[in-house]
Amino acid sequence: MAEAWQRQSPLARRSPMDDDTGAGLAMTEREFLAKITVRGKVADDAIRDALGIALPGEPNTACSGKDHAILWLGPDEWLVVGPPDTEKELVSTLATALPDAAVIDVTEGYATIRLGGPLAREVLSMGTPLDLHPREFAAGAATRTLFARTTVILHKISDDPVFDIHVERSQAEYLWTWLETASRPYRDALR
Amino acid sequence: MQSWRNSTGGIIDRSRRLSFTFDGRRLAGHPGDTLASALLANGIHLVGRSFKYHRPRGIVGSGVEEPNALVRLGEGGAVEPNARATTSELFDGLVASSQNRWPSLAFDVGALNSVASGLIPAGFYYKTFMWPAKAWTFYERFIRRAAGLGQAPEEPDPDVYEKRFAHCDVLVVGAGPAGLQAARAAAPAPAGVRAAPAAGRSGARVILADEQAVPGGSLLAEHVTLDGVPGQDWPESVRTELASMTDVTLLTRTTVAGYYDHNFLVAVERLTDHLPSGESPLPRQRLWKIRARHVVLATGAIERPLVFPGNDRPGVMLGSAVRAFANRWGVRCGARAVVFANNDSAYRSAIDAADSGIHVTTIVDCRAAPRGRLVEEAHSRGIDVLAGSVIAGVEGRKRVRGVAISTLDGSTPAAARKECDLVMMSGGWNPTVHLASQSGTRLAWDESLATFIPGDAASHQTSVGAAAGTFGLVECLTSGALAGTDAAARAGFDGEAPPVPEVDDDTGDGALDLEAFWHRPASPRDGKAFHDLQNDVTTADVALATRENYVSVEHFKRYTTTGMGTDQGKTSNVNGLAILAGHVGSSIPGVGHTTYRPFYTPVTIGALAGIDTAGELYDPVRRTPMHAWHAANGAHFEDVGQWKRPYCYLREGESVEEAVERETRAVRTGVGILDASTLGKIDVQGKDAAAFLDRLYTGTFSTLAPGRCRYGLMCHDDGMVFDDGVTARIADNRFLVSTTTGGAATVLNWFEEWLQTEWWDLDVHMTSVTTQWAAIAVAGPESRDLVSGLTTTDLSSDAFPFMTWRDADIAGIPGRIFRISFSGETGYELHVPASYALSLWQILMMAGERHAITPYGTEAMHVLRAEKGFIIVGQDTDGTTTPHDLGMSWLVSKKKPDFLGKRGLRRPDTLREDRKQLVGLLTDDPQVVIPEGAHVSPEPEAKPPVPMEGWVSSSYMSPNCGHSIALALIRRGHDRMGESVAIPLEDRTIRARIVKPVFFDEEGARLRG
Amino acid sequence: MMLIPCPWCGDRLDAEFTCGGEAHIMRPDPATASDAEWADYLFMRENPKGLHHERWFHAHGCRRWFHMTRDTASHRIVAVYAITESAPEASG
Repeated sequence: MAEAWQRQSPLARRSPMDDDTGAGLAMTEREFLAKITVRGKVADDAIRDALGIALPGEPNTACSGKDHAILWLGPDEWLVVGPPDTEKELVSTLATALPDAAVIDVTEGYATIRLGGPLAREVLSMGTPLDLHPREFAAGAATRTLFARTTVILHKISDDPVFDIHVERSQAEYLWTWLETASRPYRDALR
Repeated sequence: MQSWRNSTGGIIDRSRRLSFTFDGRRLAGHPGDTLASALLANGIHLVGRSFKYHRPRGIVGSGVEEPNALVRLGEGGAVEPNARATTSELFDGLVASSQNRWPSLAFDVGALNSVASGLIPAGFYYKTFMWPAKAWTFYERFIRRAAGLGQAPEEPDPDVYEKRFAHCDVLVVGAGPAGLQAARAAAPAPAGVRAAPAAGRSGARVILADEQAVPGGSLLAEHVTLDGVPGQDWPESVRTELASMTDVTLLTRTTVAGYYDHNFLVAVERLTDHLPSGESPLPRQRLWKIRARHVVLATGAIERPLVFPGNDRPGVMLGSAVRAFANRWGVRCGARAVVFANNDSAYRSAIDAADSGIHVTTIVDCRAAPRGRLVEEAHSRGIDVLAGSVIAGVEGRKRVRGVAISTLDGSTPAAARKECDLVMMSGGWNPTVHLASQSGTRLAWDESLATFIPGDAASHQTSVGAAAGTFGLVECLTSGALAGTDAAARAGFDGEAPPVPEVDDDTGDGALDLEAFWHRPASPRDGKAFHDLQNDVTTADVALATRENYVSVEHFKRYTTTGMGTDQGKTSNVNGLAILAGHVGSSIPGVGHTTYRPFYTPVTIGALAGIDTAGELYDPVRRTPMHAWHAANGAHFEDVGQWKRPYCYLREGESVEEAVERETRAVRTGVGILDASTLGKIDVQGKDAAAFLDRLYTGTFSTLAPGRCRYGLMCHDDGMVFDDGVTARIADNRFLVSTTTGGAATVLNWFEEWLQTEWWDLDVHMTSVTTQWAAIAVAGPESRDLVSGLTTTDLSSDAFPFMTWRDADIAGIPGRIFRISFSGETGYELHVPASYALSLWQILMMAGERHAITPYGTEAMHVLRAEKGFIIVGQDTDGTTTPHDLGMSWLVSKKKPDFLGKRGLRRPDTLREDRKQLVGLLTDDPQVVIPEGAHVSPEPEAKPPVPMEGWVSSSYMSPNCGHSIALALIRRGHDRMGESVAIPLEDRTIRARIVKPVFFDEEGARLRG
Repeated sequence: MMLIPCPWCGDRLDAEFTCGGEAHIMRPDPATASDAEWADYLFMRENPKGLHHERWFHAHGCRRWFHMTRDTASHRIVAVYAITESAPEASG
């Protein structure tokens, strides 16, 4: 049968928000990133061999390479994030490399929002009780945390700052609306 | 005309005029004014009526301590009741009005309460309106109108609010002299300045919060110099210094209102309240939720009023307030003043008032022999000092006209009468200990100050300056700096204290030389003496409470209402306790004090709600990938947990009932599709996965072959059902568990809890895949025909029997097909990765056209499952229902040695034979649908109390059966088949017969066919 | 309002956690437990004013269960220890 289907990302119906002034907030969806949950016993070497990056062993951290990032979520839980449309090969690479671990594709279960700009930290502080000061939450920091009335996985990509927020797909529009609403007065003030 | 405004002095901008209205009257003030200072500059003292007696009331204080001058600000939905005139900044166009009066401030009908005041003593409401109980609703209307503070706005609040979290090493509350020094000491080096010249500033993150528009606190109301700079200007130079530092946040117009566990504090920043509306796009207020490693409380002190007959008359003010209005706002609060004092600080107020142009004639001092430099200075300004004297009464109603003075011991009553339009009272100072007390810090009595000061800190906090009972300026500056350095050091940052500015010696050491004066018993003829102005509580009320034995401080507070309301006892508490102590023959520390509770000052509901107020943001809305299609195709949504699910799809001109009926029929006759994506899905894997599930479910999963599915019930360890669902074995070591929509998170957490806390030796891992997979249920006699057209998988019953699943390519999409059914029809659940789901739904709709495919909602699903007697956990169970009660004993393993609930099911209570059991009900009149939740009684004509035998859990009109159907939990129901029961309702009684809980296709031929 | 020291993630706001109630309740052997023993296990809890050993779950963080000893009157947190460990002697 011909391929009549199309994939639709969780935030396909929302328009990205640009930071025209360079002083505000930019918000965009990172569509179809591969996202794999790894649970269980994981050997650092095996990950290094498979993806070329280290396994984050410390809480609240992530390790990133050219294509992949691995986020520490719990003492036996990691989230591996990879380029779009690579989830199948990533699952099989990881399953082969980590025979004692559970490797679960959650690509479709999460949406990813990229938030950047000078206002990003301020807007995030309206939703999360985490201390986001660069001294406490530097580039490469990652954790699951409470945000507004939902749970997110927050990953600080760079000190610019740029953050990736992974949120359960069904709540992506809620979170988007929340961020849009919380930042509106400040974006208006920049107009 | 601001005829009470001096031409010089103060920190207001006389070059600009701001126009405002009070009760419709157009008035003018200047930038820097509060509403109170502007009113006083216009000669207006009378600003409101009191809470209970509706007595005329004037401005008493100059800041947050103000008990009387509560006004209504703004108009329409943006109105704010109970705003303190003394803390409301003036802006151009401000609209203010007085409260608690009808029809007008000058003539208030409620003032009759005052005439009849003998009839409304403390506890009046409790006593009078208690009997007969029914009459309360009658009384209430009048009481609500007569009592109370202000009026709540009736329109939606148009303003935007915000909440945010903040973290700091040192939080300094209060930017007076002590707080400013503490912040300087704790703060890191100014940007671009090396550590040395800045005297080793620490590097800590500092937040300094102050409720006023500008920093400075008491310095703004005094005439002193610091390092040669006027004290009113010095705070601005510190602000500039702090602004240049990284990681220092100075928050003005910010009231720290709550102090909670582990140094978590809540502050409200008023961002735009001081601006005309529409001038700023920023939120009106911002609620800060601050976690601080160390807190410095530099909250200052509040002057204590004195209690004497008539002390509530407009024109009776705190001495410190008169001083502040003179020094900070250049306003004279009267022409001719008498001062009532029990300590030296009164003289400072008297001297500054005199210097501002008020004719201060007399200081009535209850001390026998006041002496010292301040007394001499007062003398030198021609002020009489009457030692050993008190004010015995006040003349005037809407404004003071004069006072009667007698000796302290009362031996020469009314020794003198002095004319005046202003009484300045100074009864000592109460450190602002509210926040310390909220945090759990106990308060200690200081005999020389006759007040409470913070005792040993309950958390990482330091009280400093006047908040700790230190009143000398030099001492405040020095101890503030030390507290700041110490706080930073405790947070792990070393630093040195900043230099203490040189202070001119004009200020003295702050010693009060106070002699406590609480009140002198007076006869009722002298008039009421108030210790709590806001709540209208008098000394007579304290006496009454004592007579009636409300002598425990907590009882006393509630019986008399002392210290309640928006005021929280700022001016009243210590006086109230002192008078109580006098009556019960105890000391003040002996009677103790009540605990201060948040909030220090009222916080608007808007600030507490932030943006999470309405619609989408009130609670997260969860949507399935097909949501937009549902919305575009007539879906009438219902909330299931946080999910939006189509209840039914409305066609043009169709009612909800008609739509449900149409959808219900379609599934039994053709084919329907349902968005089942919301059902919880948990991936369970590991070599002990099967063993793990065997322990959690009443049934057995270790015997399930890969490729097959099994329905299971889960119980708590008490044997009560708490979730159910179909579990599929994906591989030897891998299962896909499905849960109810509402139970998904609970079940996953339940699994984790047992795995981590009891069975950590098991090798198993759980991951939620609820949103990874979207699910579409295709059900009905034509479902096989429809799905076959989209997949190469053989769907014949032999190849793909009921309760099995297969990996499948569905319309080119890699997914899974489950042959399961919640409708009782032949059915398939199609699982595809979520991003493909909308496409698959649309493909099914197109392919199904020739079958007249019908999308159906949750209500049709409910009717269909009820026709089959399939339960919904949480609807047909209530947490006291066992699998046996449900008639599902066949799901409870007899072989397994243990599972959660097994032992619970053998408890005597769960073995009772008269438990409520799930049955069906058929009404005698087939067209009558019993309301869900209705109680079931054995006797139709029973008199109350009617014996209740159970209740109706599910009830629908079944179009497929042609009559109504119901499920009910009825005592001993399983043994009562065929029995008649009654369902008594308010207006009628429905009769029904107990039947088996299956109404359609009992053999299940359709399901398996 | 409490700041709870998750043994994995560090200090986090209490809103990220759920409290699992009293700790160290042993599940009796269901095969031999009397009705009274089973009822005690299911329903009876200490509810002290003062130090209390509790189970907590970092639901919005690392999703780990752990033990915490807390003063129920002052909210002072005295000890945090692994879910597999028994109560510390000193804080009992």
